[in-house]
Amino acid sequence: MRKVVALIIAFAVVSTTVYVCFFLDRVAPSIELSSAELIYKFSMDNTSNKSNLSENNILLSGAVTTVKKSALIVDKKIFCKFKNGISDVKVGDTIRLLGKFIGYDELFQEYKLNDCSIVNQ
Amino acid sequence: MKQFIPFLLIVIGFSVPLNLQAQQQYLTRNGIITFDSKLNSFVPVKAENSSVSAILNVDGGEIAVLALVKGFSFKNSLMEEHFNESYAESDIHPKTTFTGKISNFDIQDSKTCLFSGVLSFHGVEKQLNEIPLIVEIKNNRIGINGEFQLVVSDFDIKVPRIVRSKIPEKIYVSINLDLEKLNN
Repeated sequence: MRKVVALIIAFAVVSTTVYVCFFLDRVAPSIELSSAELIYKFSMDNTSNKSNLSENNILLSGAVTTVKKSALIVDKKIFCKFKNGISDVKVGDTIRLLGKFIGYDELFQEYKLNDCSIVNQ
Repeated sequence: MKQFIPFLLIVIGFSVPLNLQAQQQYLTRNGIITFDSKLNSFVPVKAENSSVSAILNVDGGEIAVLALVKGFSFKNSLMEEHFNESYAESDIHPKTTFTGKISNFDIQDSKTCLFSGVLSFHGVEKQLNEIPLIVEIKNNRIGINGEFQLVVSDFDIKVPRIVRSKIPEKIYVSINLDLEKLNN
């Protein structure tokens, strides 16, 4: 009987550990960059640097140059797609936002951030 | 011959701007591509990318679509991580593209058109022939919707034997673009 209880406890501990380690949404750390720094980091021809950008959330600061329905373009080069709609943002505003870097769009020659949200100043 | 050169330059000088004006383009940065195994598995193999870029040249029906591989989001974050690291290898192959032509495209008419062109994913180029797309012409907007099937093994994706049974052989890809007129 004690063996069975020990086995159940061991199973519960192992499965909880596995769940916590692999299945819980891990919150990625964030790195703070300006548009120019993001472009510079990406331009360095180094795969580990590029994956470093996409593994972390990016806290981007810059000036809004275009406002769209659910996206902003910052400093003419960074396309930031928002999770929800955007309100109270206009062209010329200086902004800080948190997003996930997904890469460089050759078609529009823009760098893309997904799942963005505005961070309070 | 020499006396013809100024004349030729004048003709070319006039025709180039006319040609550029005629090449009316429609574009989007918010296109949607989803892929789905459509199998009833415990964890569905399904992902969506809603920041797809596309440019359509109305005159010839040429279209270019680009999706960044890291833009595909899965419900299960672990699956997304495996997709990027092990299968799509998105650090090495960061984008997937479709380039080609929509035949019998007509800016005046909403109808089903056929797309032929090249799809590139994971560094492999695959010819697509006559994929039906529903083209909807609205006020200064063009909607393009369609679905096609791909075979995973065509794209040089290495699947470890232990998970081979869980990875579907075929994937259904659907594309949904809402293109707006480029204001010159």
